[in-house]
Amino acid sequence: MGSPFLSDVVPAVSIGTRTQGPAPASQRVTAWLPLALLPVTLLLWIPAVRSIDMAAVTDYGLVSVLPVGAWAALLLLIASFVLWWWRDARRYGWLLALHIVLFIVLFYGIPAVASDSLRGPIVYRHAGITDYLTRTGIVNTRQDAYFNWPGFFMGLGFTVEIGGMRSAMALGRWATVAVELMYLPPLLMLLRALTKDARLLWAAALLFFVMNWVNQDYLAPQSFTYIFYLTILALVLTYLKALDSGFSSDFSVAASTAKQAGADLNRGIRVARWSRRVLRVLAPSPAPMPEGVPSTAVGGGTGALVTLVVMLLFAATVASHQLTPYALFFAVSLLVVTGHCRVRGLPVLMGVLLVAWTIFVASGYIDGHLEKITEGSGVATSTAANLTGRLAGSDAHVLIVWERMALSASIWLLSALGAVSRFRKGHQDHAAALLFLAPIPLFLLPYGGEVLMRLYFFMLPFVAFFAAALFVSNGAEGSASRPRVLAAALSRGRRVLLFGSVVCVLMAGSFIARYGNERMDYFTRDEIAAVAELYRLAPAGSYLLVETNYLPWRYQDYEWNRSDPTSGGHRYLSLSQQWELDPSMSPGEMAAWTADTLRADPAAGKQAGFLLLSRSQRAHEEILGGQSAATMGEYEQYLKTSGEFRLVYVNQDARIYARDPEI
Amino acid sequence: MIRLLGWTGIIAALSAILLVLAVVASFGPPWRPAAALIFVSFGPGASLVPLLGLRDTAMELVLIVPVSFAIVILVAAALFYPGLWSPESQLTILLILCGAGLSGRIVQSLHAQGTT
Repeated sequence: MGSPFLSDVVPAVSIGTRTQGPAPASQRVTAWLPLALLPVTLLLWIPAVRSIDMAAVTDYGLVSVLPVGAWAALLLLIASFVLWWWRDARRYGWLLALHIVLFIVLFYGIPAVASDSLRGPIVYRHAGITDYLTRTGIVNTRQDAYFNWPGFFMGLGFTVEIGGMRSAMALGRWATVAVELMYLPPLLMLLRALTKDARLLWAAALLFFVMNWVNQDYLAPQSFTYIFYLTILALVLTYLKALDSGFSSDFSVAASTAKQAGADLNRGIRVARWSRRVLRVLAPSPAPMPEGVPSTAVGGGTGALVTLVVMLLFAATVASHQLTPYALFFAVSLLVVTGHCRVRGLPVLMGVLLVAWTIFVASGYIDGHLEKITEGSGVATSTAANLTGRLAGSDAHVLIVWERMALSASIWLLSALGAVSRFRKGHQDHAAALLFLAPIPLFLLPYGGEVLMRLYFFMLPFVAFFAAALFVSNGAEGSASRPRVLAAALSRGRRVLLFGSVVCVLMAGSFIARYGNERMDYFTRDEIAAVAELYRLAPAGSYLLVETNYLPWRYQDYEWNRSDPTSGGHRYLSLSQQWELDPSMSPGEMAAWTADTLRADPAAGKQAGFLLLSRSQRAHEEILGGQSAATMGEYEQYLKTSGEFRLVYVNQDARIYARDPEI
Repeated sequence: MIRLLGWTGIIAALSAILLVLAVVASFGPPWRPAAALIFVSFGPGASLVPLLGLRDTAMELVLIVPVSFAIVILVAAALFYPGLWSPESQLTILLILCGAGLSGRIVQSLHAQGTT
């Protein structure tokens, strides 16, 4: 091949290269010249990204400060990919893989190079959960939802401890790039199960990484369980797919057995025919498979072992994440019901595991949050949380939200057009279409404002597949007559140009959407230093209050024990939560509430608390439409004049107030 | 050795040896974290996946990382819930699993050599 990794994949149409004897040396050198574009992209990208001033990012996100060099590098890389893809996708498969790897580094690695800190507050929280688990060895399912699906954090804890690392944060910086790179191999296997057309496969693979703007790929359970998601679907569609002509083979075996035994052949055939009819009633007929998929379907011992591996991966998914197992369950069930997977018991096994985990492990969380879960379910709630509820905040942010919606809608539209085109041409992409639709029921689950993004993420491999199909023609190109060859070449050329242009536009749109919250997702050194100082100052069991939960904290002392506050951890609170409970509170009333909440209570073992105000919290409120700067200024003034607080730490981006323990 | 264990088996064995050395000798960063990451990503999967007999090198290579992660997660969970978890206990179990996988591979190879 090109790529021994995908040796079964063949090109639908031979493009560009003609192999009629060895080419002269000069021609061979010229043929490889475009490879020089790859180091050029790096030479453009590195200085450009290192020159980014993250402090200057506006409400439009990273796009507001991205230097021209970084844009040029990304566009050049796409152009180079399209060039090799046009020449011969099968022969240069390894080169296309290299382009995708480089794209992942250049597109997803920007924050890791441009910033000193980890991106967003969640990674810090995940480090805190990991720290709590490994420090105490306790799984307290009532602490919060994370501890009901803690598998990922347990595995991460082992890696951190056995690797002698101080914290899981050590792995956070490049986690996004690493995770995206880990998606590539199972994604290729999944696409290989859907098509044998090398051009379609590589175009879909590139589009997957270009269109993945939803930020679900950091050091988090959902990003790692997504590797399991891709792998399980690849295994099911490759090794557990319905065996072609299964019934006719039963028929032949029965007939041949009867003949060999010297029995009445007609009777043997009648028995075989009868059993065939019964089987047809009991089970759906094997669904049509895409043409030319690798014939790796195996039965017997290997099939059983592959089923075992699928269940092993699924069990790790169930233990690690709330939503991914349901996405897998729906997908595999659909494949079984429609006859694309021959292991009919697989959804049953998956369902039993899901129910068992919910009853025996996650019941602690579900018991305590049943009302919240039922209230959070349904189309209306999900629509409000995922669409209408997100259209708030600063003007620039609302524009970014509209851009995200328009981008996602355009991508889905491209994909729908691609699907229609494929089916009209007679391709039997039923499995891809089913897997495209399988995650839709997730929208009804109580998963707050993120479920639509998760849905997009689970659909993405199949969306990319169908969107890519729009740019890959499988017509009767390459016929012998010269004018027709010329017309076909022109049509191909237009298609390739169109593909390159669309990928560039999607990449730019995806960049704006992905990095649109960067002003609040980025933390300065001063903010990190302020949180470290907060932990140094605050005694065990004290209350820690912030404006909103958007700061690099909770990476230590994660737990909170209401009955024995001094046993460790802190009570983490935010003004925004309090304002949500009572929006009518004035700044003065909020200052009074703060003084009361953070007051020491020696009888209950409660120490005086602290308040931390910082740049990223303010950015969060300004971008998403929380309290105004004027309200917060008034609030802070009340604190200062109350005489109940002391400013104990201040730097350019953060201030810490300590509640006076004596008052 | 390569004939007995295959490349994946060699990777599994080396990653395990490297991590044990790094832990015993208390190597500092970046060596010990790197050894831990290599073992967690490849060790268990590389030792066990070839036993599946998939006859598809690409799929075997693809499975190594997910299977490794899944085994690390499930072993951790199996130790955490009964309150038996420690990094050393988990490492011991993972090394036993790797050893079992590699032994199975050797038996498979010897059997295949015997039949040819």
